Amino acid sequence: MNNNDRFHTRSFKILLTVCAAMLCLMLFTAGFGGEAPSNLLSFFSTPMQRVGTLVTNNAAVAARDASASKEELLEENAQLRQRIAELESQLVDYYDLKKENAQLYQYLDMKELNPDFTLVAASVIGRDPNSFYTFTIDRGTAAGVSVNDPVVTDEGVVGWVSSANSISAVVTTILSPDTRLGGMAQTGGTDKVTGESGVISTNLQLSDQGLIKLGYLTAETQAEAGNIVVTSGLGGIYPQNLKIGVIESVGHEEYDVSLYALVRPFVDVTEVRDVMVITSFLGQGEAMQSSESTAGSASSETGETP
Amino acid sequence: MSRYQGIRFFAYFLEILVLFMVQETPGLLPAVFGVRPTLLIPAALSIAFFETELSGMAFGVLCGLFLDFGLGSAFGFHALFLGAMCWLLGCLAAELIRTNLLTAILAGILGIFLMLSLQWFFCYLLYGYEFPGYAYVRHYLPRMGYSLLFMPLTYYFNRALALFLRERED
Repeated sequence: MNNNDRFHTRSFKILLTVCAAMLCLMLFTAGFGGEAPSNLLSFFSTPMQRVGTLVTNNAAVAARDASASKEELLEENAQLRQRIAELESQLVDYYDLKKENAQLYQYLDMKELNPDFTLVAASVIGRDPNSFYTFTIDRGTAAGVSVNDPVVTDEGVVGWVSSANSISAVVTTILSPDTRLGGMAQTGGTDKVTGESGVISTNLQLSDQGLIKLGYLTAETQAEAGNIVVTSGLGGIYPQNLKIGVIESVGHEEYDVSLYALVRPFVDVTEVRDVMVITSFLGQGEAMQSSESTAGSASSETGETP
Repeated sequence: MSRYQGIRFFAYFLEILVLFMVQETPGLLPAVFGVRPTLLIPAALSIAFFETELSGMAFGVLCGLFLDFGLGSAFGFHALFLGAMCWLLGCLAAELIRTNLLTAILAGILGIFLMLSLQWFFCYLLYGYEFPGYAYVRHYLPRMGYSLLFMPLTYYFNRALALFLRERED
């Protein structure tokens, strides 16, 4: 077929129609959110991802056991054989129950410390290779999760929900360049703890080293290596005093007089498997609402995303 | 649509679902230089080799929609480019190029390079993130190479699938 003829075929016209439809879809979902197509694809993919993650997690545990020496394995094998008979009667959905138990323990601890929190336990079921430091969890809007909800573990802040459909949600972690949140370095030692506010952010080079940056510290800052950094709660997205990480070093910004601190997060967000979503807490969204009413954005005032 | 064509299309759909699951599941494929492969691009390109340009485009769009879904970005970006790429590849495979492993790998090199470079341009550079050069060299290039490793696998799988079902169809 002549090359010019190719552009007059029905197939080419269909291609153009499909391209136009995809452009419209792109504009529509960029403007109004893509919950409908997301729900549809999630309906097919999420159950498979759940099974895949469960199998992989169990295989990872098995692989860890396999790396022990031969003698250790033989000894362990003998002990295990002895106990198999006792445990068989109790071993009903053991791994599921164990996992659920661990999740609920964390949930309980956090709930006792923060009675105003409403928590939803979730598992990581997907990590997209095309995105930087985000993951998918197996809870969505049907479980009460909504966009901008903070995501934590008992060790500290993990990130925030950046998109959600009815059965799953995407979490953007604190290592993502998209994340900005109000942070506070606890300085002054154990006798008199004071807080120095700044903005937590990062870039890809720092993220690859597992670090985030607490920026906009004043030139007189007392922050130093070893100080704990917590959320300031100023943006209304994260509650106050959630642990973020520990300061590794303090340095001068290149283009202004402020200082920054490099912080290593307490949670390894690249490996985390179980998280909790805080679906409501005292003071949630207050700064956002007030800033909306004064025509200023929360992010510009407090540094928090979105 | 004949019965075997329906079965073939259903098999492609299942293949795409499984590859998406493998691509997304943490820990299933090892990270090399900190990156994991994008399996749906070689899968879409391989399918386009053995189908008409319209069917190839449809599966390209489907793979693209799954990529958009995984990335959590606006739907349509990957679908648009991958659909167009598969349409073009379908035309070329029908009229201009032979269908063999060498051409599949060449198409894979071009297709994966183009798709991930577009992703870098539109989803990283234009968003104004810092260190775009670092991101391209440290993340996108290794991902291109890693994804390309799966091109022969998806090519032979789809070839076997197409030949097996076409023989019955004939």
